[in-house]
Amino acid sequence: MEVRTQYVVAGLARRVGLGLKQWVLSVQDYVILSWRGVNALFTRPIYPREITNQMDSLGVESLPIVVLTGMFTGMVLSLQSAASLDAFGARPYVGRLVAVSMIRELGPVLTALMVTGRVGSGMAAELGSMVVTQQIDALRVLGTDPIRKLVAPRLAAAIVMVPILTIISDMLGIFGGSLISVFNLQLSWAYYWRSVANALVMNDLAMGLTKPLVFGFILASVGCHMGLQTTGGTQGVGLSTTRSVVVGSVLILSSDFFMTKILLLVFPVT
Amino acid sequence: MRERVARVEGPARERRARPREEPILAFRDVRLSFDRPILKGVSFDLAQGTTKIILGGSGSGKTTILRLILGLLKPEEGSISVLGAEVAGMTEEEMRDIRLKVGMVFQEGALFDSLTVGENVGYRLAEDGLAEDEIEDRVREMLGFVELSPFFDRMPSELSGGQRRRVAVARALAARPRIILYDEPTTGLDPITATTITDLIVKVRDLDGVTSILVTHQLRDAFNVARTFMLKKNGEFVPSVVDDMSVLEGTEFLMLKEGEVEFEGSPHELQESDDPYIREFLS
Repeated sequence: MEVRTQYVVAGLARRVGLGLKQWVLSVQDYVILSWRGVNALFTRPIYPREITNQMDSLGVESLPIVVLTGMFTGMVLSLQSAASLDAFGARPYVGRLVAVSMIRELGPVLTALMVTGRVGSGMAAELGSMVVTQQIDALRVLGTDPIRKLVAPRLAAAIVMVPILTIISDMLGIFGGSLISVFNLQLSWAYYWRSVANALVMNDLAMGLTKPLVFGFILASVGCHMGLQTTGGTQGVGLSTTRSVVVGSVLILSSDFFMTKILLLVFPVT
Repeated sequence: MRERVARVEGPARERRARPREEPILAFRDVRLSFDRPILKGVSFDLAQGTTKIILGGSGSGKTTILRLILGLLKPEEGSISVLGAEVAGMTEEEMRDIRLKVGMVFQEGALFDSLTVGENVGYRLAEDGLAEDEIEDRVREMLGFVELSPFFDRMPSELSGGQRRRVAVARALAARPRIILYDEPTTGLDPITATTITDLIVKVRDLDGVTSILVTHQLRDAFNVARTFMLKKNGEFVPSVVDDMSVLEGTEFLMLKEGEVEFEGSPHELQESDDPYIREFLS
């Protein structure tokens, strides 16, 4: 019995050790890939056509989901906050609450999560199928660095387009909130927008625009990393796609907490 | 019906009868293992203008040899000399110059799905910054060589398995490589389509004079490549088959068994071998 227990414990320890080793190796590969990807953005050769294509597919094609997400989030935020603010007779502050919540937190996070689901997974699937069909090897054989050709343009596109999508989402969220305030909460149009304008300060914008830069980098680098790590044929592509969404989303949400902590120190709420 | 000839004459023979003394590619005691040993001390030479056909069962290390030549994998021990340069310790950047002189045809073509056939074939030339008309001329020439001229604007997804591999051959040849590597180019193809691919390999060898390595486990296709030659008839080159193995020149077989070289020699020597593994493989 004792021997059997020892055997089971040894087996478990071996598996945990192996899992830990693979995790550390994966993190190491991710860091190297991210470093080389960023480095490739500032050294030749650069592929402007690839960057434009990625901006189109990441940015322009993500507009509908970002518009819908932003608008409905602002609307529901307006409804929910009115219910709470009424308890203190503070309904006129709905505009202020919607604007600050959207710009500081919900706009950046929800946009990043939506783009991760749509584009990060697509990056993992596309690069993953290129790995399993040997197209990545073919690129290397034809003298092209896959990181320059495939990873760097995706990073550039995400770092530029996620902040732009976030601004659009913020604007539509605040606009959605105004619709509910006017038609459902009986607040005047002018009062709502004055409340929004009074609430916003430069610190909010600084925080609201710093986060999407980092989120864009995370979603693209995780998507590319998961895609390039694909093994095991088409089944592996499916796994990479799922992992890219899970890891990307968790990283975005956890980094959001730490960034908020740091940004509140840098840009304190006045 | 192919013409059957007793011996090889003409440009094919001239080109293949002049191997230089210095090998264009050499493996010396190359070892590599992942979770198990893949190559256990493989050594061989490839002379200029010749073809080496690497045979072996699944997992014998055939494809690994091609990946090592291109620097897609690095050996743990041993040396690999390609066109006079030692590639075992080269960085990715240093490998670029070697890769520009070595073409590779992947197992299922590995064409870029997002590019047209023409863009695939001209990919390397475009990367090198050649003028557009120059690229188009070269691409059309290459597509003509593999008899796929009308497919210039098609997408790879519109091609059959055999057509994809012919485009892959055109892409590998576009930058005029000195060595071309074929990784199981006939796997998964029906016998007739497989013959069009082996004829193309022969055409590249005899008309372009490119040194080549063919990795395959399909014996029929391997012997087809060894026995077929492009011979001029009525002003046109046609594939012709030599029946007598003992007169074949310029093609060598290398058989791998569990990461070791089990046999190296001419087609005739392979056919006459008494080695039980080879007999079983050939049967």
